[in-house]
Amino acid sequence: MNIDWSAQFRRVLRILRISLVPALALGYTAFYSIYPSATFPVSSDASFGWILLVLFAASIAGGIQAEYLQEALVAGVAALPLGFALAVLLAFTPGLAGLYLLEPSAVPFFIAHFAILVLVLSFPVNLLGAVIGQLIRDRFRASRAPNRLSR
Amino acid sequence: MNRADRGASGEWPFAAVLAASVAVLVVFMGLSVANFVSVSQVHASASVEATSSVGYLGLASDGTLPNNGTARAWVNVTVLNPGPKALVFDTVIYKLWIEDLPHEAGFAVPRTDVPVPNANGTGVRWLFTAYSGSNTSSAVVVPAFGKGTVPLRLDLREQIDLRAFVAVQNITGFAVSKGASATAVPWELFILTSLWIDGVPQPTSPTAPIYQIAVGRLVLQQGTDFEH
Repeated sequence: MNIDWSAQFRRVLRILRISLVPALALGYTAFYSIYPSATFPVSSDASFGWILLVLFAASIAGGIQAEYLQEALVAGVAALPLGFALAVLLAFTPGLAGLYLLEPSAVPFFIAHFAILVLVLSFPVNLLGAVIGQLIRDRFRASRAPNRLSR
Repeated sequence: MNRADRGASGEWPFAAVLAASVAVLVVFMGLSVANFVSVSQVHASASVEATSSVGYLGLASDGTLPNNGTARAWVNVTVLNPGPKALVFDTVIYKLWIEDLPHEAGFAVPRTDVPVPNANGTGVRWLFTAYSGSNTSSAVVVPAFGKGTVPLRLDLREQIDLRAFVAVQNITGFAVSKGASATAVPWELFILTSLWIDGVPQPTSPTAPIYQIAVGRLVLQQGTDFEH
């Protein structure tokens, strides 16, 4: 059986590109949920509505990018570990400036512990957003098809 | 030709959505990181420098502290803030111990002292807690890249704290009897102060974890609390 590695590689890259927006959103919202008073927007408590809005909008924006629903769903799932890694990286940023508030090896566990709600929430939101994104994409394409034929 | 290749010419709206989404999220993350790093800088760089001096008002002609005299302590608690966010003093907890010279000389004293090992580890110093309390009303602001001081003036009189006053009276009297002045008796200072970081609101939720309170609150210490 011949495997077209080049095509597989391109497919992985495409999935990573699609998962970029949901992953960024997850990293940002996980970080925000842990430090709502020291991030952006500054608030005394983390806003569940804001987290849900950002995750949902980003998952739709990601879902729009995919050619197929399957690709959108895979990208939605791939965004979870990527987003978690990004949240850990954000929590490390003071360390990059030479400031250590937490033991570096404890940071991933700290993030996982205190952002568990956002991490769990992002899974169904990403899948739902992927489906909605695909619906929007198909509708958009359908609306453009007659224009192309008329040219 | 697959579906992706077929649609390449009509992909630009989707690419625009991708670019706009990434840009917005990167801006959010950039602002978050900038704020987080500035708060971390305050935590990592702020320090406290406290000084104290004790004087005696109304000393008798022989240099001893009479019953109507006053032992007055001036404590200046200064916080240096090289960070980019202002701080506001919340609480200053202070303790001032006087070295119990009669106790160290082997006299039986009717007070409870704290044994503290000597700096060279060969003996024990006995310290008596003359001043102990807190101040929460200053609300002094420590500006960003600046410093702020809470000045405290603490009076000890017979009417305020009889037990502590009698101890100080006895210890300073012992020093005078040995040819030294009352002001020559050594004191030890301990300061524990907490400050709020300006622009970092405290959580209002009763279920907020402790670390979220600690993010906006800075606790600085100078000296050793010998009673713990």
